[in-house]
Amino acid sequence: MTPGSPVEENSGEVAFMARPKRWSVPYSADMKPEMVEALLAVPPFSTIDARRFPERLPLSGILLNDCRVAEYKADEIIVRQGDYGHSAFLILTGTVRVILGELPADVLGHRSSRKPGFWRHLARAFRPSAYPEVRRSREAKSHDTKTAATVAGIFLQDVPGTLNQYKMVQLKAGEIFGELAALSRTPRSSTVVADGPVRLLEMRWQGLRDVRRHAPEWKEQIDRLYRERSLLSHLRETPILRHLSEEALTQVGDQTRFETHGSFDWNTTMLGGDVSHAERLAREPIIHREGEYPNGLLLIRGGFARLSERYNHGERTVSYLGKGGCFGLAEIAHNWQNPRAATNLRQTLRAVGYVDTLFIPTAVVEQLILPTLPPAEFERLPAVFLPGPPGRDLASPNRLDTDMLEFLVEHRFINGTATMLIDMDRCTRCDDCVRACSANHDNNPRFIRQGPVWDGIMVAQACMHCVDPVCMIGCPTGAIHRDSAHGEVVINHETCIGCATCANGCPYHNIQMVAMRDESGRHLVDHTTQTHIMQAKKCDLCIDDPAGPACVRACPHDALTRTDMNDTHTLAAWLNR
Amino acid sequence: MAKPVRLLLYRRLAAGLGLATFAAALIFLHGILRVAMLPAGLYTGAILYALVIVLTLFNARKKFPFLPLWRASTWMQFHIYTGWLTVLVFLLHTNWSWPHGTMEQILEVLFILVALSGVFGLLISRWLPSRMTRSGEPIVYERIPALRLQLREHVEARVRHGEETTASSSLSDFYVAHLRAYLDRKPGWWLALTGVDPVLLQVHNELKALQRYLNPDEQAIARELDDCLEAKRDLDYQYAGNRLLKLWLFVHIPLTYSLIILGLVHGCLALRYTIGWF
Repeated sequence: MTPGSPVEENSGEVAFMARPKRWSVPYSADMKPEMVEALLAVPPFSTIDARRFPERLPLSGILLNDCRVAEYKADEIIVRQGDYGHSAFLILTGTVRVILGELPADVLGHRSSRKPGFWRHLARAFRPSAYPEVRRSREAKSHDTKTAATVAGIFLQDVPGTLNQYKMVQLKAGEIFGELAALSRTPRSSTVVADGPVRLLEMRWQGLRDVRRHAPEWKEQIDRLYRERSLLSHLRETPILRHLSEEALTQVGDQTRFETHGSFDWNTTMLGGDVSHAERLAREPIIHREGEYPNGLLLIRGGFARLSERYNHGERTVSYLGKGGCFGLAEIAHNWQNPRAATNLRQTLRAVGYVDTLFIPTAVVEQLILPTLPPAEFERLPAVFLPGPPGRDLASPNRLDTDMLEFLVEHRFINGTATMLIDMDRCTRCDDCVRACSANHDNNPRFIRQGPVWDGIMVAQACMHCVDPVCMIGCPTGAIHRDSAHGEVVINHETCIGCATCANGCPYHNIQMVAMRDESGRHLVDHTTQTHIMQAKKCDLCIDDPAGPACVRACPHDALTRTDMNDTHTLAAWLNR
Repeated sequence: MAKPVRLLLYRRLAAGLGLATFAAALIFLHGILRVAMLPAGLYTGAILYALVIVLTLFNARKKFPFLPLWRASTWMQFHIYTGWLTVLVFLLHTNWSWPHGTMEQILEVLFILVALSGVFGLLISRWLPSRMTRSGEPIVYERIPALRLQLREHVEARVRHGEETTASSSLSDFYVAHLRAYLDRKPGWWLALTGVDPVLLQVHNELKALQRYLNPDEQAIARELDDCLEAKRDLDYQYAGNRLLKLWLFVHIPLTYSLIILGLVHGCLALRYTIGWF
């Protein structure tokens, strides 16, 4: 019997169950209707027009199912810098402190994640799952549901030292924080600590998204906060600005312009059949053109940009820039040092898909940034920010071949942080990687050893754990999310309702919809629609495995790797090994 | 922070140096045993048997991919270099001579077959993948029969179309006489080694000869059929390569287990008749 085929009620081949829905598993079991009533009676919720919300998605439903009320004690850490978060916080009572600066791991109380040990793995060898993709009955109770009893507190260590050493911002009742990580699928940019007993309303991102969508006043406020905070947060994280004082940084921030290039729906348009290189380049919006005067420094906040240079009658890709990338600095620095021998931009910068940038005018760079750079760092700048065209020195392990660069950029594989690359010149097609993945994942491999090949390197159909995981956009339950510790994109199979939004949204087709079974091997079928219960399945990088991805460990020929495409140094070293 | 990538050349050099050191130590030790009039055969036999067992563990490790026991590539490197060392120990154990007893002769033949199949496996796993990569799109082995069928259906459709539009049976006759059998045919594994398929050459020549008698419309379809022959050739090469890369293990592994069992019997007998154990 195949998924999608008609199901007979008394066939005995299937088991019936109710199809999981968005609010089948609420965010918190502690949230009660009377608490929702109380919240709706006070600002900011009392100012929201609840009639704007659709009937299937009422404001009260969002508060009941996508929110929880959390209480924190003094000095308790609410969010930690670097963790991946899926929720934003509204302060109900009390105050919190936002710590500006990077705290050491021991002060933040970071603990190494606990993974199953050797004996549990050995036990698994003797108790393999008999059927692929089994939805176990114990999964009905979600471990993602938060209750006061299950949330353990972590307290800031060395409070006086931290107070003296770091600058802080205090937030009061009615203010929101955490929206940056929740909305942009990025790590928390700051650590927030309770400043005395505090009561917060924590809202998971899909609830926040829906409130933003239907309450314009919230949208305005959150978008303003998002812009202000993301700007300062990004400037603080930019290496060349780390020597600036807080005052100078604010001055730079005041002069900085937000820009967005390209289209946000790049994932839906990228697979548009065979397109020539020239046509593809023509479709990518030019941000700065080779030969133009460098009138500002461009910092990449999100998305990707292609760096290219003229070559005969065409253009060849020489590199790509992702978040944290910087364009134009070498030329500005050169012109600042050699005003009589000014140079223009040496390369063209194009938006691949969409790019969020910060534009700092040349005058600001010359007045505030360049004078603060230590001489040693200044000398290194051109080498760091303007990589020479690859292909000139193919023997170097640090260079990516131009053709390989074109291939990676054209297919947007540069989005991956754990892209599966297979060296087909070494791969003996033994499928040990597939078997290892299957053994680790309910007898169903989470990738397909197939995909585009360039110069003997295959980019296999395995989740790349993208920098910008567009698969997460639109997930109604937030089942697809980033792991809070390391940022892997994973699916919570207890809250996945099988709507296939993520599978359709993944531009690389790396998420599969799979028919689920019960523990006796029968297909699960929705008793109302008589159709199969499906769930989205994809590579989770063997997140529970202490030794890392099984596919990499299982390859006997060193043909397979999982690589961060933004780490071009390691990528080039692997390709040129 | 990503793990630094080690150049494969450095790895080969380090492993080669390690192998040479162990080999020199073993030859030296064997010389000492013989000078000291000790039963060198027993010692080398014990080492040989232990090495064969250790080599077999690589296959056992594959059965437990989720156990945190070194990476399979580390095991593979260990397997290859220890394999060479085992050959040396075998030569020391047999004194580079052909044995007299039937059991010893069987054992020696088994060992040689296991070693040769291992060397063959190593060679093809280093040589064949790059040839396969450059001979058409890499295809999952299990999908090849379906793709073969798809190709045949496509060819059938084109031939039928040709027959309908040109009112001539030249192409369909050719299909029945030569093409269908070739499209259904599964190639032998040796195609991966030779790269030459005489049946394909024959069909190709027949098609070329037929083109003299075709009108322009039929010739256009014949050119399409020629492209399909190219696609079938690529498919066959992938199929043969995949098979060969899997088949050699069906020789290497069962022979290894036979060697282990017979080696154990040989060891027990040797201990019984040399130092009186058992």
